[in-house]
Amino acid sequence: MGEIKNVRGGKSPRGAKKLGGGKGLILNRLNRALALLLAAVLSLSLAACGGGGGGDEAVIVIYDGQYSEMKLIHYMVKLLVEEHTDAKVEIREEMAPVNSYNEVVKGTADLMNSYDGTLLTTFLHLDPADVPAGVSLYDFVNSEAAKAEEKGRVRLLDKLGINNTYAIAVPQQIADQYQLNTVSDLIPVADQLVFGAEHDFFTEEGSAKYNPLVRFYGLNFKDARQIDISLKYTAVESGNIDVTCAYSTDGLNKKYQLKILTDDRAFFPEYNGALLARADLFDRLRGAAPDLENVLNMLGGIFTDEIMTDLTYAIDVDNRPLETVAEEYLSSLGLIGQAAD
Amino acid sequence: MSYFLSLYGRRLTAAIGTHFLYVVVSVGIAFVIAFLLGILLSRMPRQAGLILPVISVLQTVPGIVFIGVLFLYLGMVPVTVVIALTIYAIFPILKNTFVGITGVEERYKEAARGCGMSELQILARVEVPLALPSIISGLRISTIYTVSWAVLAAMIGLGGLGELIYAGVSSNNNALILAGALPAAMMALLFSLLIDLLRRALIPKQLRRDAQ
Amino acid sequence: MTARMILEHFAMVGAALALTILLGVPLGVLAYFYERARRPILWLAELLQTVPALALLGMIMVFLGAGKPTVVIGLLLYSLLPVVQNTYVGLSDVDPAIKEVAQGMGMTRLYRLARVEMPIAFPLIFAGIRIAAVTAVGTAVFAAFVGGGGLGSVIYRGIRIANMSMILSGTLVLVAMAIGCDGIMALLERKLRRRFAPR
Repeated sequence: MGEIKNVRGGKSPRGAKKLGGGKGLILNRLNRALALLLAAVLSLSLAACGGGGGGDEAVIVIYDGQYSEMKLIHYMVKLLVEEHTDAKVEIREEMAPVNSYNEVVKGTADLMNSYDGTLLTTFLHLDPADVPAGVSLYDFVNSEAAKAEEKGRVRLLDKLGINNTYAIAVPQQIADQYQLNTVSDLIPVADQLVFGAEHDFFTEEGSAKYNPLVRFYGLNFKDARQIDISLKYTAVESGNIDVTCAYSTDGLNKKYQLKILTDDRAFFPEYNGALLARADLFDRLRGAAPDLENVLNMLGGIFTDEIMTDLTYAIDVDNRPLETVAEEYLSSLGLIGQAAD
Repeated sequence: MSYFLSLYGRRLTAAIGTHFLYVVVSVGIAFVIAFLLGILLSRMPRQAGLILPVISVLQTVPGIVFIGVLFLYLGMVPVTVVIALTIYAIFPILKNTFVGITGVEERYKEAARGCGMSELQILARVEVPLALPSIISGLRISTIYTVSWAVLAAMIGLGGLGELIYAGVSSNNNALILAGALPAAMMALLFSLLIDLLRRALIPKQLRRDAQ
Repeated sequence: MTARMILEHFAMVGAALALTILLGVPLGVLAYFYERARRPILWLAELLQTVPALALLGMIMVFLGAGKPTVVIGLLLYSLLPVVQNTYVGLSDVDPAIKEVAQGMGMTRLYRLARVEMPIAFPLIFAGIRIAAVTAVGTAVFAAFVGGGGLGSVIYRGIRIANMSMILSGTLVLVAMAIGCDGIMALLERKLRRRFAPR
């Protein structure tokens, strides 16, 4: 915007001032205002080009995730859908999962990678305690999600096979020092250790949280710190916190040599990874992709926690391109690349 | 509401206290540094043209990067927060001090010189008083900014209202976001009022041009 | 990091800044003209400043949806304070003697504003705009949370996977962009100041 203003303001007006006095000045001012307005409109329309688009019926819109597991699954969806159907997948700029979920419900996006536990707590504002006995968490959230009004109806597709739940983790060195293997092993030594995790682990609502955890196991930590999720591993590495709450499929656990302590009394609920889709997606794409649901469910059950940890480790720590990692894994399973052979 | 308070009441009061302290300490230190530096730079406008942009640019470094890097070296201590906030708070005060003092018209200084004032006297009795509206305006911007920047403390486990805000944002809990954001907004208004009082007390009536 | 990200970042900041000037300077003038409008306007600008960026963007997203327009409006609201406040303070600090002379010459209110008061207040107003510009470059990293793209995604990814070189390269480009913006503004300021010079 600066340049436009400069060009218009720089040349003629100065002459005009000498000649015309007051009148010229007012004209200049008008000129400048116009230039500014023009600049604003230009850059806005420029901006709009990025966000707009769509409209094409056979396009599946996904807003990308902010961490590798989510990005990887999204890219695999694109590979599978574009190879096996006539539909296209448009992966847009990344955003926070909560925002992405809101866009799916609104209908500006169609699909995202999510977890049954997240859908339950963060999105539907329910709690594992609300799940009736004998019903799995996965089935329960799907039936709850189906109760939403027509426009915002979403559901989870087949489970991917990963359980990306919370896991209590300590650096290997501390695990060795105190002989820690399970969360219960922490009980006698907790008062010498500082616990630290991201903020949402400390909310008073919900049951898979800090206060319920320490009450459940009878842990009495020396201190509890709430830290930004992106600085958590740095804090562990630098010894500012000793015990943390990690995610079980995170490649970073491997990088920072964190030992995951077994949740021996089964405190944490499951967080089964699954695609979350708008319920009306399959009807809408009936023409271009009659088989869409089966294609998306090709991802069902093809991962384990260890496989996902290795895949995200390859991306986050070995810096391998996400696209290559996704393609290699899918073709190693024979899910893509068959038609070309 | 009362249910919410029973859940978060104690954490909320602690957070407000911590937040308030971070703001007061950081802005206090920043003001002293920025005021002195601003006067110094006004004596050397050429160097100022280089130094000011550099300091202003520190402002761009995203809070989490800045505090993350400081955190690596200083650890999980309040000093880390105070240093980060102070550096962020310096610029608006510095810039406005500089602009205010260099904006004092030459004829006033001439007149003072004519009365036999020394350079120091001119600074203290002519330039600074005339620049006060601008300086205080900078102080106000810095203070308001710092109230919202102080949420950074929560990123490295050091409390403040950011704790509630971050927890609310990441768990999709609007009540929690508001519980952090409303006290922050009220704190900002309170500071703004205090600075208004300060402005009234410090600036002689004749110079308070908005008073007429 | 790609050139596209840099361009996107720049476009969002530029659009937001243009809108900030278009809205902020008139608001400052309004606060100066009408005693009664003063407090509400200044308080509004201050209040906006205290809303956490993520919460603010979340609220705007309800109306504008994901993407760059949300970020641009968010940046606009965030940048208002220095512009509004410095416009108001700059105008009210104009020497009353000068105002009286202008009035005595029979200038109308608006003419006085354009011919006399604005030129005198110009340095302070522009200082406010420059503060807003530099702050906006930094704040625009939040675009990465609402699908706006830009440099934020590089930086947050770097932080998430604790990759120092990725964080630093993102931050350096950001800083360079801020220096660039500030440089352009400085040039602009000199040009305008010469033309606006009171005498």
